[in-house]
Amino acid sequence: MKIDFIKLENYRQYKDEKIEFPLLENQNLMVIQGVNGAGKTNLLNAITWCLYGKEKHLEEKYEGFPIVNKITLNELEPGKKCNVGVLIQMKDQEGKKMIIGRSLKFQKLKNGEMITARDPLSSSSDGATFRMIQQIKKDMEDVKDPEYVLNRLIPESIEEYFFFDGEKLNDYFRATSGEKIREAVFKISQLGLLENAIEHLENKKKNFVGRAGKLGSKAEEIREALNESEKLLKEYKKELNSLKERKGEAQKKEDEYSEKLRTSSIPNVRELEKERIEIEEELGKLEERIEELEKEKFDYLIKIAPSIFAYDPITKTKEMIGRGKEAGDIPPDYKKNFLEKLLREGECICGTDISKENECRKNIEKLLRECDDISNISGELTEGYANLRSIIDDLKDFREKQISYGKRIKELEEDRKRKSERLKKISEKIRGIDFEQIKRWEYKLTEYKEIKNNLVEQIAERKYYIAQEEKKIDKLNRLFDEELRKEERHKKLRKVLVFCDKSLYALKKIKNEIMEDVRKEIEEKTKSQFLDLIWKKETYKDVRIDEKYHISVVDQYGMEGIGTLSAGERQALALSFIAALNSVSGFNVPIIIDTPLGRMSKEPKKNIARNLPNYFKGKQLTLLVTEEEYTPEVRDKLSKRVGKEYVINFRETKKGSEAKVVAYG
Amino acid sequence: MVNKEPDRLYIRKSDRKDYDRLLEKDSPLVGKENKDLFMMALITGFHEGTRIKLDKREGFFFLYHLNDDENSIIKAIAVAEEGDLNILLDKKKVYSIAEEYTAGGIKLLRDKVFSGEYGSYIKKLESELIDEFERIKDKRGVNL
Amino acid sequence: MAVNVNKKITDKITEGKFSEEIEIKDFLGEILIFELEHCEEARPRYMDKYEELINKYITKFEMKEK
Repeated sequence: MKIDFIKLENYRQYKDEKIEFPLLENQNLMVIQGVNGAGKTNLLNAITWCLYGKEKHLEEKYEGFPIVNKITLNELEPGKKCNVGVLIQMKDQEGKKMIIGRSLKFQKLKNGEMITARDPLSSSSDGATFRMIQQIKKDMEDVKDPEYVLNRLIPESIEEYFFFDGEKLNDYFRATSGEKIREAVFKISQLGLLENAIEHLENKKKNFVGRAGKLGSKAEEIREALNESEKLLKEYKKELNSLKERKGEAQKKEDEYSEKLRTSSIPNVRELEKERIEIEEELGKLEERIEELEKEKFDYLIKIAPSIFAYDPITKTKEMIGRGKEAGDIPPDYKKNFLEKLLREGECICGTDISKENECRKNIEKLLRECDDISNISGELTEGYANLRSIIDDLKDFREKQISYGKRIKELEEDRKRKSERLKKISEKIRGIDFEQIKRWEYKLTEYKEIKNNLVEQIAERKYYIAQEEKKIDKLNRLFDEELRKEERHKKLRKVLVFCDKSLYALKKIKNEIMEDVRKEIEEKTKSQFLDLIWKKETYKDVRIDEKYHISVVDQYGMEGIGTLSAGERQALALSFIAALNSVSGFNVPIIIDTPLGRMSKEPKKNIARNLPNYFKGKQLTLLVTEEEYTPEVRDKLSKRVGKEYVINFRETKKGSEAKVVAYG
Repeated sequence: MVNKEPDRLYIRKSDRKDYDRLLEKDSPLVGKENKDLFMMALITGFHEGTRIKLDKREGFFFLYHLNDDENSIIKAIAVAEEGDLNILLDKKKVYSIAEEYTAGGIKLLRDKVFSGEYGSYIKKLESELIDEFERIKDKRGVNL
Repeated sequence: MAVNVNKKITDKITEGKFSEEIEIKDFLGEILIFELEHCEEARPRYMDKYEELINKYITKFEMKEK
């Protein structure tokens, strides 16, 4: 999917604008340059507003101001209406068109006030009209359920991986974003299909059970109980989803206020907030490390416990075998089995015939009488002796190991304590700043943190209830199957249930495997691209993305290196990750990056500029840049791939501001 | 009389639910294998000196899952019990002694794990091991 | 926008690691195609379709008793 053009009407500083995008295969890079505040970010906002009715990157200075272009607003006569609209025309691989448009009417009242003139047919909260038209053969047709279709093409939950602010890329390394990324990958790999199939098949299975007609009374009871439990489970899951949503919102709010503090005009506050973010990150990792160590210690104790509690028998047995060894019984001169064999076969090892009663036979019989059964297992005893000795040896450093674990854990716990206290101090300091706005932000931040933590607890509780209920359902299902087995007439029902179960099993396993495969693929691609991009190539060895989608970087000494990455390197890592997500995804969506080269020095800028188009190969890529980013060197490196180049001309008039997008140069 | 070793170890059918409980999500032993639980119950029963004969039994895990150390400990317990290395000729008996101690220890193990709040079993186990270790050291002198 | 079921998914079904029986493989293939065709819909009519497909494959399905 590529964007053909975008039309903006009265959207913020864009009064009347049409921006054409490049469509040529190997020149599908577009650059729009503008100073900060000229309107770059609002281009991004225009797109998300058009698609989702939300301006996802709205800067603070625009908050509270109407979306309508100021000049239009001022020039509008009382009683008259005006329209705010953003229209996006896209083309797919086959060249078929798709037009998405959102428009919102405003009316100026007699007293000069502006109100929205809601579209009575609108399904969005702001009363805007949202339409999607797609090309079927030669005609253009209205799409019946546009929000739903859009969510299949560019799901809202993952749009931030296609339309994003380069400076916010740091957020990908937060401990909290792992879940979001995991969900994104899920959507990206079409796993929704599998999930739907699983849900539908489970419902169908329940449907079969429900229709089965009169069952034996026990089976009836169980069926009833199953019904109840399934209902309860559904409730719990609904509650869980709503809690998760609320948590996501609280997290978002928390991030917002943290961002405000981090970019505040007061340097002290900025520093403190930056420090707080770092410490929270470290705390998260500390917690994980502590948990790991405690598990390690526990596993060790479980492993060594038998040796300690059975120490007496171990030493006694070892001593008994030891005595046997000293006495020359272990290993024995002869094995009883061996002597019995000789007598049975009637021939001695020297060849003498001992099948009849003779001197030799009598000798062997005598040896046999003196021989112990135990001689047959002397090999085992010898091995056992060595084993027992090594068990006793391993015990020698028990105390040392046990104490060392305790020490290491304690150190980490103390570190954790120090960090928590520092966090408290930081909060105090920020609240102590004599500036109302800062105090308010800090207060809000703390509030949302608490709400979030509260929700986290509730989520854990729900998950526990859900697990319990699922276990109950499993048990009931097994009992149900047992009851059905008893009656021949339920053979068909049983067959259907078994068929469904096997299919469900396969679906679930496939889903998990694909998730894992995709994760690995993303990890590989991110790693290769990142190592390609960075210039200190010997320093970093590996990039890892774990099941929780935490990204980590390993340096040449095997240590976690994300904390040591420079701003430019972090940017490179985030861009590599996004590119990997995009290349692994089945979504062919245009990519728009606001400020991709923001906080970088010359060298990294050049490197990334050179490599960026390669990492987003085949995708239409738009970069919204400042002059500082778009240096002549960067421009030079990108020139071969650039299909369209624009500059935003911005002017302030008495009536309001206006931006015009004109060709570069 | 030599008895071949069994191919699997058994537990009492009535104890099954205790093992299941020990493997549940909120248990510190979650994720452990059946043989690990068996060993833990075994040394618990042995430490208490409680042996219970298996009435209705069911298979719990295959013998080959036990490693050399675990096998040696089981055999050592049998030898100490009978006071004679000859018991090792009767493998069936060796493992059934283990099974009986395990049957004797499982309920106690379960109680220990779940009494007190979460996390307290680990501490309890640690201090029990330290006490036992010190006792052994004192008895045997500096050899350990 | 015509799309096929992700090759990763179809490959894993035919690989048969989690589903040996051919009836199950074919069944899964068919329901996923259905899901893909109807994933635009908020409430697809799957009950009837699934019933049809299950009945289609159940006759040939051999149930191995545990």
